[in-house]
Amino acid sequence: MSANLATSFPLSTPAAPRRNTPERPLRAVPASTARRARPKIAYAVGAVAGILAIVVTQLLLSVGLSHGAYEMSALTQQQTQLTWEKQAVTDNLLEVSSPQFIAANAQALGMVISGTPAYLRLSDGGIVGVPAAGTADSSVPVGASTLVANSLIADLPLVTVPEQTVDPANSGVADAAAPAAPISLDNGIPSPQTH
Amino acid sequence: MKHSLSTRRRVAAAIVCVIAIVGVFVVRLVDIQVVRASALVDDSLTKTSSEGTIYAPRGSIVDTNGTKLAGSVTLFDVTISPKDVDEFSRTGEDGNKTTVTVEQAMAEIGAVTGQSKEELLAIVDGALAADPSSNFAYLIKGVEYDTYQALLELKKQGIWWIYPKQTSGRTYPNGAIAGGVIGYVGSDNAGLGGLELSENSCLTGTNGQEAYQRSKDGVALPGTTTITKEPEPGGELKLTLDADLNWYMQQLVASQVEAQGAAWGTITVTEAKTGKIRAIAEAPSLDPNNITATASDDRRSYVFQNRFEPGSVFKPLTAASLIDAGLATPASQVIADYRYKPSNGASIKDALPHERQQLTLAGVLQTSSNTGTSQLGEKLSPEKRYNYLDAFGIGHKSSIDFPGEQQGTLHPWQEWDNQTYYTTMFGQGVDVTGIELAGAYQALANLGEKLPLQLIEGCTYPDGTVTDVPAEGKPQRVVSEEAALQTLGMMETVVTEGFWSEELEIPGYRVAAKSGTGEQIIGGILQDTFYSSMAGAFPADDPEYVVTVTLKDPLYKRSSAAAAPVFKEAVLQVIKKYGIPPSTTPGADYPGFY
Repeated sequence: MSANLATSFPLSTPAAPRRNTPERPLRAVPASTARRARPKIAYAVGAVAGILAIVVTQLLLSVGLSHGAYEMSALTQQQTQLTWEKQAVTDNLLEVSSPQFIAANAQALGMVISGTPAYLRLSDGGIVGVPAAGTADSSVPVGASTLVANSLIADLPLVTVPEQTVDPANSGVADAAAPAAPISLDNGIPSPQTH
Repeated sequence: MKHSLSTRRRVAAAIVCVIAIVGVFVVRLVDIQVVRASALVDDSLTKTSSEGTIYAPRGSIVDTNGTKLAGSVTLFDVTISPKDVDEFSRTGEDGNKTTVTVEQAMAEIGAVTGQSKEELLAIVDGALAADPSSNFAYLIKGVEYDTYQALLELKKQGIWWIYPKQTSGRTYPNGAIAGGVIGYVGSDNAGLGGLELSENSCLTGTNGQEAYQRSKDGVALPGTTTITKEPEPGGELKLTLDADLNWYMQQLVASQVEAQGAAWGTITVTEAKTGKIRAIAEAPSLDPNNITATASDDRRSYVFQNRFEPGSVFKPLTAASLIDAGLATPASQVIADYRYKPSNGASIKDALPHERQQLTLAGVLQTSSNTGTSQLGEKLSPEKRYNYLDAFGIGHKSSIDFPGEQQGTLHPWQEWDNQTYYTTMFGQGVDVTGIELAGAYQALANLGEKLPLQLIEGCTYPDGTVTDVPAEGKPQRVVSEEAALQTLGMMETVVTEGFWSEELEIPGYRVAAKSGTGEQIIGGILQDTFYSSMAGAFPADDPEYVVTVTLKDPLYKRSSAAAAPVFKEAVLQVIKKYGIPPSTTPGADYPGFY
């Protein structure tokens, strides 16, 4: 484009002389070689410096980018680890929330399962049911909390009695500890009462 | 003009050059991007990229409140490169270098994984004996996250030749709660028993795939990973069971199984008006976390996979059939002796000798009279009686279609011999599964309308689609509402006046129940131990829940006496759990004698 412009407006064509003009504000461009050479070197230096600057910037940028990529990778890795950790902790929480763990802790404190519910009737203040304190004297003697096995918590120390674990024997499955028992005569001679 | 000409030439040359260069680039570009594009891409991918598997977790099994009964967990397999196992030097905290021998290193690993160093050394030696340049052997499979962390720490401290690798496992946070129903998985995480097996297609996920660019040594380049196929996690299976209630029932039945030296015991709790099963308690029960600790015979659901002759819990079914057919009322009278010898040659007797009794139908249930049941039952033709039992679901698998579910045996009425004709009236010569019994009582409790029992609510996938929802079953009328209500009323007298009334009665509540002491014949010999059961529904005027209890071979109380207190405690727990208010209507109070 600049070449085309140069041909359309040739600088070298001398202007038409003006007569009767005492002053000539316009004169030919002096053919100074030194003046022409200086801008050329400046341009070259400028261009080279520009290219260098671009190269350096690009290098820095790419170093930065790849650094960022590694940081991202490390963070992704960390995120994965944290996900696993969260999962492990959540699972632990679920395990200690299991009824077996709660029952084991309650039993260690000597708690028993409450008996018959009783209600206060608001309309006449009457009591429905027989209110009574819970006792361990249930018609079905409540067995150890390990009767319903949970091997995930068998080794855990109790919250209420830290020196005890959930399963003192840690047998895993408590039912295995109750094999076909020999008939005991403690409760009298077993006899069929059939109805 | 001269100047201008040379400029033009230069310009033209420059333009030609530029066009030529651009042209070359364009041709090359088209060649690479269009003509050979796919070949080049394929080529580059095989050289620089790898594919990896993204594991899709197996779905959870949750109870009706969302409590997790089974879930997937990330575990780690630890492998070792046996050829690289060697001593190394470690810089301690004080900056001194110490040499760690192989034995020491193995002891350190063993302390984390719970293995002995001899065990670990044997693995390494074994692998090296098979292949001296072996670079792969499993040290231990399926360790948990904290072990994995400890191993990473060891790796940092110089034991570089161990490699923990991610894998997935199954965990059952609530242990043996409903363990026999939930079932278990194999080492490949595929279902092997129970619902894990039958709902395997719901629970199983589809693994995804990822592609990444790898460096020369095979390490994934950061930021190049792209997921080519999204993993599809398995669905969440929701059950109708309530984990807390199920735990209590299991604790209860296990306690009685232990106290009575019984072989096994079960409790079921079912919603009368929906057929939804709220608890299936079994003892012994399987802890799916630790399958090997459970005897292989006990890795089952006794409710679905065992049959037994139910005995007298069958009598209410006979009574309801008689009333529905218009052949009896609660006041129908019968003279019941200890023995009854009908004309067809059969011989019926009661459990215990007694004087002649003048019983009503209500009294027959209350005293559990076999001879009375037989005489009243004769009024109904065997064909019709068979049809009633059939409609109650006896001899049919439940709609749940549990894997390995047994089917009770109710022989066609034409095949009944003279004795069976009578014994089927009171639950001998016929066998049922626990779930069939619960289903029959559901029909009674739902005032005569039988609903398909329901154990599964549905399977929900992560994208929200729900499958495996049981088809809405049409209620099947078995007996009339009046017949059901009258039968329930007669069963109330079992609780208020019967043998075990002291152990059964709950002040303020109307409970209908019937005991059963099922005889068992093994190898032609009548055994001296029994199936002790108790089944019932409450509140008797409009039942909400059905509870059944069965104990096999209790040793100290060899009759329904073993099941009665369990039934009461179970009913009490359901009352407390669901806040059932006391009954406001008086009991039916049918007279048992005349």
